[in-house]
Amino acid sequence: MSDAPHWGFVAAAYAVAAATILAMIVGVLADFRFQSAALRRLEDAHRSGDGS
Amino acid sequence: MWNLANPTIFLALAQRTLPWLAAATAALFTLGLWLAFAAPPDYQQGETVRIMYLHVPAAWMSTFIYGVMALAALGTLVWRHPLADAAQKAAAPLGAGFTFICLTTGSLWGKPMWGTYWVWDARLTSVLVLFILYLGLIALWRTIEDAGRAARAAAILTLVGCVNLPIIKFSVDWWNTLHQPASVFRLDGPTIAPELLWPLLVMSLAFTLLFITLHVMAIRNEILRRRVARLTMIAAASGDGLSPALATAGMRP
Repeated sequence: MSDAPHWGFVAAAYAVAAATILAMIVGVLADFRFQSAALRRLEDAHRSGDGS
Repeated sequence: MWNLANPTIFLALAQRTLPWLAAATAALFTLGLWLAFAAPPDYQQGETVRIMYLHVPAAWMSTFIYGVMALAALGTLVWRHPLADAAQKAAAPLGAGFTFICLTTGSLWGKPMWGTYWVWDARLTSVLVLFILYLGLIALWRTIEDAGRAARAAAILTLVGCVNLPIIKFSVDWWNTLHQPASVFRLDGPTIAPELLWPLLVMSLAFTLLFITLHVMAIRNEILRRRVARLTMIAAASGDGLSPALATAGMRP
């Protein structure tokens, strides 16, 4: 039995898994940056509103 | 344990544990991948057995995460645990991601081994239903604006969807399927050779740690999102001129 043609399926499976895991990591990190920035802006604006 | 219900305590704990969790996950993946490619080929499957080191852990994670969501749903409906809804909402996209990996890697294994990418087999179909359930839950949270109503609706749908878990597990016993029966969790012990079993177990642990790491991060995001929403509501109620800041944050004043 030759396994040579099957390496393509193995590589494709690992590529799909890597891409999906990377997308999940990037998604969670990007959401954290977005929420942190939004919270910082709101807290700054709230503080400056209190000061005036 | 109950102290974790306090979002401030959870955030502090997350900040301390996340670097260790991420490092442990990366180390286990490195070891798991090395073992996966150092393992001998299977006498029947040949090199395609290496797809199993992704497919099987992803399959386990897809049902495990749904179990976590079901527990969180109980926490939302019965105990009204403050972080239960956040934990449930944070887990759904991760569950969908792992189920997607399970379905695609299974399909890529099926073509060389079964001669087809897909069959409407009981196991494959029930896992596809699980994937659709995850997508439905994500859509439900996005479509219901009231957070409390969305949490209750999602919790009920999650608990109803639990009926699919035993179907997935026992589909290979109840019906005559193309998918092979369980070969690791059996009363008479695993039927896999140790050379192939070890990489599978290490990769499963790596997938589990990856989920825990991402879940803690996603719950942290959910807590921050709620703080942003609360500040937005306070600003809107008091009309203290936060509109420019809210607009940049993508919020309606």
